[in-house]
Amino acid sequence: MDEYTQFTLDSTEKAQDPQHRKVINNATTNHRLKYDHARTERYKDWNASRALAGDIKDYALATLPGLLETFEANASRNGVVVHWAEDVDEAQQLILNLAKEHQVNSVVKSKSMTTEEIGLNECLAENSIEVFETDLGELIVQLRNEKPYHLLTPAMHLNREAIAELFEEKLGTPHDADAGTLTMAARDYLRQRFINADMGISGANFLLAEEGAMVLVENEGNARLTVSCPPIHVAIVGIEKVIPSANELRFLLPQLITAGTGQRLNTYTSIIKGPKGEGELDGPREMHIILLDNGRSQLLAEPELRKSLRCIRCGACLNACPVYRAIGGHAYHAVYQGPIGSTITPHLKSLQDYQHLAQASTLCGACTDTCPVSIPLHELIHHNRVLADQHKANDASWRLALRAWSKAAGGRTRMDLAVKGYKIFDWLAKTVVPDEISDRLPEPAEKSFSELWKDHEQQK
Amino acid sequence: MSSRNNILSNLQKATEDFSVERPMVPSDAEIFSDMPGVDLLDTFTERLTELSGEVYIAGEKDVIVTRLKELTDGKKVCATDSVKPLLGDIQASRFDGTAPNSELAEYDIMITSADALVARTGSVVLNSEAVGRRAAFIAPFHIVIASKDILVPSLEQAISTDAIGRSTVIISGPARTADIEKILILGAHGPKRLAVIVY
Repeated sequence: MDEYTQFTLDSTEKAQDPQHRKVINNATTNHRLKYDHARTERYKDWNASRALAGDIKDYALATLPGLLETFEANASRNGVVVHWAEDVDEAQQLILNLAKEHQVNSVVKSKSMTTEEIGLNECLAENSIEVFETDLGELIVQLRNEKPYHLLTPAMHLNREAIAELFEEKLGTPHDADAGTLTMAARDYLRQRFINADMGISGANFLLAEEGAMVLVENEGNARLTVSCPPIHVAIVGIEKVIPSANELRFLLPQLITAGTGQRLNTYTSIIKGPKGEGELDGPREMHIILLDNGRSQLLAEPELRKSLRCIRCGACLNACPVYRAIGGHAYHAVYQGPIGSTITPHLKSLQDYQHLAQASTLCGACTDTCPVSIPLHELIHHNRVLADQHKANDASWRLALRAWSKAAGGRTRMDLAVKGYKIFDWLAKTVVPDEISDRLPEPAEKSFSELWKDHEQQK
Repeated sequence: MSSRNNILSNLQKATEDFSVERPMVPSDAEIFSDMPGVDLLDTFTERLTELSGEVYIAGEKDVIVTRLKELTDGKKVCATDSVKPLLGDIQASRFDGTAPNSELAEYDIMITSADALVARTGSVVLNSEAVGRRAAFIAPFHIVIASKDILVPSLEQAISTDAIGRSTVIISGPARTADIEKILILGAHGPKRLAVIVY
C-alpha cells in the first residue's frame, strides 16, 4: 500500500478514537502551558530571542562547510575519530564495522532521532547485536515493538495502565504498579545493561566547532551513563547540528529547553570533548562521531527549504499543530513528525511518497508562531505543495481539479458562467441521480458575488 | 572522492549564494528576566530547591562534617580526592577511576567537588578532570561540597570556551522523568537525591 493511502487510513482511524484524542490532548496541552509560562516569565523578549536564535542557526548554516572542518580538526585533536556518512547505508556500515572491530555483543543507546533515521536498531538486530534503549519512553516503545510517538516523549500515547500491563509481562512488575514503581523497575533492568554494555551509542543536540565538542541534553541520566560507562562511545549526528562555539550554546540551550519542556534548564547537559584523556580519572577509551548528511546538503541548497535546517528538534511544533493533535505521531509513518516532519520528510525521503504530508495541514501557522528558531514552517509546508505540483508528485485528479478551479476563478465572466453552469448541473443531478446523493450537493447560488455586487451598487 | 569530500563539496555549492553576518549574542542579563538578585546564594538555593535538590549552608568548615555525618549515616560512601580534605573523619572509600562500573554501582553515596555553581538555574557544574565522568551518576545519592566563591550568576560564565573541561556536565537537580502520563518521578537513572553543601 502506498504511503498516501496508508496515511489516509491511519489518520482517519486515529482522529476518530476518543481515548487516543484525550491522551494526546492532555499531553500537548500540558506542554503548551509550561512553554507559555517559561517564555513569558523568564525571557525579557521571547520574540527577539526567537529571531536571534534563527539568525545564529542561519549563520551556522551559511558557514557550514567551514564550521564542520573546524569541528573535525578540533575534535580530532581531542582524540575523537570523526567519520562522514553520505547516507543511511554508509552510516549503518560505519557502525557495524566498529562493532565488529571491537567484538561488540551488546549496545546501550540514548534517545536519538538520528539513530531512528538510519534504522539503527533493526540493523544491529539483523547482525545479532543486542540493543537496549535506555530512555524510559524509548524503552517502553521498544518493548512494545513500536516506533516513537513524538520527538521528545516517545510513549506519549500510552497511559499508566498500558505501561503497567507491558511491564508486568516483560519486567515482572506487580499488576497495579504506579508510575514510581514502573520507573524504578526500568532503572534496575537497565542498570545491568549500562554496567555490562560493550558500546554506547548516542546522538548529539549540538556540536561546538571551536571547542570540538558534542553536547547532549537529558533529564534521566541515561545518556550520561550511555556515554561514560561502556569502553566505546559512538555518536551519530546530523551535519546541521554544528554551531560556532560555547558562546552560542549558552543561548541556544535554554532556547531548546524552554520550547521543548518548559523547564528553566534540563537536568543534565553534557559537553564532551573526547575519550578518556591524559590525567583523566575515567571515560571511554575510544570515541567516534559520525557526521550524517542523508539529504541535508540538498535541503541547504534550496533557499526556502534551508530554513528547515535551523530546527533544534524541540518538538514544540508537534504540540501546537491541530493535525498532530488529532492524529498523533504514528500516523505520519515517518521518523520526523508534525510540521517539521511534513516539511523535511518529502526531501529526506521522496517527494513522490511523502508529499501528502504537506496536504495534511490547515496552514494555520501555529507551528510558525511557536518555533523557537523562527522557522516559517507553514510557509515551507505550502512550498512543498507547490513543489509537489511542479514535479507532478501529487494526485493527477487533484491537479486537474486545481487547474479547473483556477480557470473558473480567474475572471469575473468565467466565474459568472461557472455559477450558471453549476445551477444547470445541479438541476440535472436532481433529475437524474437518486436523492440521497443529489441532496448532498451544495445549494446553487442564484447569482455570483460580482452580479450581486453590481445589483447592490445600482440600488444605491 | 571520499564521502567527506563529497559532502563538503555539496555544502560549498549549496552555500555559494548564502551569506549571513555573525550575530552578536547579548549577555544573559539582557536576555533573561529572571536573573539572580544581589544575593546569588539565595537565588541558587531557591532554584535548586524548586528542582527537589537539597542545599545546606555551612558557615564554618566543621559544619560540613556535621552535616555529612547526618546525610551519610550508615551508608556506603565513596568520595573523590578533590573533596578529601573537607571530609574530616567521615568514612569514605576513595573514588578510583579504574574501578569497573559494577564496583562503583555498589555505593549508596558519592561525594564530589564542583567547578562552578550557577545561581540562575540552580545548577552544579562538574568537569571530569576533578571528579571523573561516572561518579556523579552511578550512586543513588550525590553530595557536592563547594565553596560559595565558585558561585556565578548564570550559564554565561559557566558555559564558555575557557570554563568547560574535557567532559563537563551541568547538573540541575536529581534525575527525573515524566514519560509515564507526565507524572514526575525522581531517580530515573541518575541520582534520586542531590545535595549541595555550600561553605
